[in-house]
Amino acid sequence: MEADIDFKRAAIYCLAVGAGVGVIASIPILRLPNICCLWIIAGGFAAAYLSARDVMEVEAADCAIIGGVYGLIYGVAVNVATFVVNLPLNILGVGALARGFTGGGVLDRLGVHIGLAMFGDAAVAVLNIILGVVFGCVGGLAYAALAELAGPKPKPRTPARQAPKGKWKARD
Amino acid sequence: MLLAALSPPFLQYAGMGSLTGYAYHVFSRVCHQIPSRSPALLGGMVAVCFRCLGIYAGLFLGCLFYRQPASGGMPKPHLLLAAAFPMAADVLLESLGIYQGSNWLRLATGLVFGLIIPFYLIPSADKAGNRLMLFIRNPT
Repeated sequence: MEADIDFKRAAIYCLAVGAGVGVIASIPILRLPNICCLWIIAGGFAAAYLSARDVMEVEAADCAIIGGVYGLIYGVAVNVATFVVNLPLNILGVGALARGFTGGGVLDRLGVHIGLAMFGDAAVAVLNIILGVVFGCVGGLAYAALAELAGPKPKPRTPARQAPKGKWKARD
Repeated sequence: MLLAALSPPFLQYAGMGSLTGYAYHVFSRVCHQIPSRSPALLGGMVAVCFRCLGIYAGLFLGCLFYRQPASGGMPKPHLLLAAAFPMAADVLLESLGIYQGSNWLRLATGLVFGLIIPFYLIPSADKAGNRLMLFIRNPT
């Protein structure tokens, strides 16, 4: 049991959880329609739990920071994973056509549409990172709140001095 | 973010309808955008649902009205759970089919949740900045 969070170890947990959840959340079938930000909040909670599970008293701001760092990594990971999926479609211009452009002369201005699709993806990337940080923080804070409700963890017991084997005699 | 979410109906109204597709695409990653659950303005659909709009509006208002508590730091984390509870209950009960929520309730519960977030986010960002500065000055 430690007194304070080890931020180097926490960074590794944030990286692992952020990359994992980012890749999972980029799979369309796993995006739950009714709870849009569930993956982000759950990941922030998990990162804070993993980082602070061995800590005696958890500080809410530390958990929020861990959640925020996780959210940042999540945002980058989900963008990279989505980019890999969308890249072939964007090169072919299919992404531009699929994203609601209904004006005439599409093939004449294909470059413009591809550019707009790329701009749309850049905007999505920024939004993902902002929302990742905000809701990752919320996840970390949710863990801090639950940890506080559960009360402080017991202090580690110092090993008791062993009595010498055999018949013990008091000193004179 | 709030302005970007609200932009599609206005873009359509201003005769830039071809750009609305991109605005919808931007928010499609973070919101289901079901038409029956999304607000409509000037005859066009907003890019996010009532709940997400409530959260974004709450975030905006929370940042606008943020004042550091007299005790410093941030409020107890329980307050965040309390603010999230109505929204979580609404989502859960609706997902289980126990009741059919209304759009205004989704907006209101999202707004309450979003409103409280800056009171945690801003002090956390402040503390993170301080830690980062300390780390830069003394990396060991």
